Amino acid sequence: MNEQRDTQTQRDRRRRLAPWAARVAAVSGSIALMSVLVVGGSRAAFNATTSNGPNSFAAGTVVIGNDSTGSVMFNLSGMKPGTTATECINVTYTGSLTANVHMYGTAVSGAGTLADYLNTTIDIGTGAAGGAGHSCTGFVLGSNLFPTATLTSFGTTNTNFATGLAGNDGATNPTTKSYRVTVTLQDNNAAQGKTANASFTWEAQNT
Amino acid sequence: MERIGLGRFLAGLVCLASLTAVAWLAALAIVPPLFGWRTVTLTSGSMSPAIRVGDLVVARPPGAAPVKAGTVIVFRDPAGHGLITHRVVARNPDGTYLTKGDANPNADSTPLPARDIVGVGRVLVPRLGAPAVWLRTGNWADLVTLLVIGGAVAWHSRYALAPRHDPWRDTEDDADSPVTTPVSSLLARALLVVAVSEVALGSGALVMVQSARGAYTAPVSNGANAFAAATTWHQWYLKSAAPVSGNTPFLLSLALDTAPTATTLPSYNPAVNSTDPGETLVKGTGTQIWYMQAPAGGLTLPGPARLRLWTAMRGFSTSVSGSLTPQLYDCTLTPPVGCTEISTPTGGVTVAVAGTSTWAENDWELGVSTPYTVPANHYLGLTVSVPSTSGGDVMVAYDTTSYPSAVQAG
Repeated sequence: MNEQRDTQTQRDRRRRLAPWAARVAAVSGSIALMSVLVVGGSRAAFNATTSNGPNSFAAGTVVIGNDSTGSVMFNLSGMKPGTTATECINVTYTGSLTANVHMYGTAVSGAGTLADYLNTTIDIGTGAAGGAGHSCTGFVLGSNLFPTATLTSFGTTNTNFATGLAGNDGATNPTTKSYRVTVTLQDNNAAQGKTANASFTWEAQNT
Repeated sequence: MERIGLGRFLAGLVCLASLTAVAWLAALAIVPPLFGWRTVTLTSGSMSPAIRVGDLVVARPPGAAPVKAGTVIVFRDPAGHGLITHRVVARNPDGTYLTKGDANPNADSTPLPARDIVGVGRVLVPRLGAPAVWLRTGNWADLVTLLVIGGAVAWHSRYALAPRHDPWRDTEDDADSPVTTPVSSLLARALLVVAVSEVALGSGALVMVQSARGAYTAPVSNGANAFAAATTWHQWYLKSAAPVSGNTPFLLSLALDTAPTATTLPSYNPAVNSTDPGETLVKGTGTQIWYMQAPAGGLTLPGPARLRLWTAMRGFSTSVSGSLTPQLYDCTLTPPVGCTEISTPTGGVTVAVAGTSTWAENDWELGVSTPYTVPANHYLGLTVSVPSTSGGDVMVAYDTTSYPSAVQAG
């Protein structure tokens, strides 16, 4: 009878401990597994020194293009005081995420070049024929983005997305805006024989 | 009977383990912010695949030491749209950073000042921010699904905690007392309460966790635009008689490369109408001649000659438009004597003058075959006349800083 009671007590204790062992194992195992996953994942994500190329993900896209088909807007030579050129380009946003589109200059010639004497005006609107000929036919003015100032000034004040010209914030798929760029050579003999270069960039960034 | 009990208990254990996993991840995300760290939810995928939408980045405060290339940082958007999580690509010589989203083809265009860095990524908590993103994007279907599954998991975890689902319980005891041991029952209930409240706390904290974009960027450029000025040019400015007391029709006033200095535009021909600014050329009869004598050695037009002329219709009328005819001459004597037209076609090309409310600048080709040299002591002459076919009288402005009308060549 005594032996039986001992066995019964041991069985009771096992019975009482067994579920707790299982619970503790489940909880601690889960914490351990998550910790391992988090540590491994963090290491992989934060210690990679090379970044992957562009990928496409279901998470959404930011896609922007223009209609210039590779031709430059301005290729002017022999400019004289008063020489004016006006070109239009259509920039279309087709990403799935809502994005802001800003325009800025890259590789714009600086002080001491012809850029000092090129009065530049940039307007945003809609409806320009655009294309490889950068036609402004049909352009409907929305607003002025860059009041007339030198190309040097444009290139030094609008250098990146943050300092770029807004005017197309909250773009959704598809949003097409026409940008009209007007360049006039100032009446200044100091501009003789000088040259300048500029690239115009439109960057979309999701909000 | 016991087998069914064991199955339930095991299912409860799985649910309990899942709850614990979520609670543990939530703790990882919300405890560090209590110590000055920062936890952010990625709301867009420019850092994928390393960091996906809905992942939480737990970031330590930035130290004084420069951030190494390859580090994932959370920073204030230089364009002022909240927070962005991107990777440092390089440190610029001026101390700013070049950053890039892994999935972006290009580095971010805006250099990042060190003071805008708010955190350096240390711990990546996967997926936990997804509900916050769903809430933000209005993905109610996934939210409801998650709530239903989460509720079911929480509910079923009781199989692993409540004593009456204990597969090892003594069924005989049930008859005597439904509760096996008060202590374990209390503990089990307490654990359940803790688990549930931790989940609730975790979900609540998620709302407080800041979100940061993995800002996708995409640029498109129109590159290598080229501008080149002519190597040399000449400008012969159209001058007025001085002092201005009414212009004579013949002005010895094409001055080489001497820009006008007058700032106000007077009325040049009060004989026609003293209230008209500039000079009014009456249609059919109005002609103005400018000329200058070629110096020794002649006067060479090195390239195509053009006339830059500021015009308006009389009274700045916008309801009519007109025309005028500019011509260029080589004259052996003072114009209009002994003049041979050098612009082609002979008789000049009549050009349109728009009806504008302010002075408008025009640029007209004069059709001179170049280079053309006006011999020494000859005169270079310019006439501007308004034909009878013009829609009205035309006003022209010159010899002022705002309206530097000129003949250009080069």
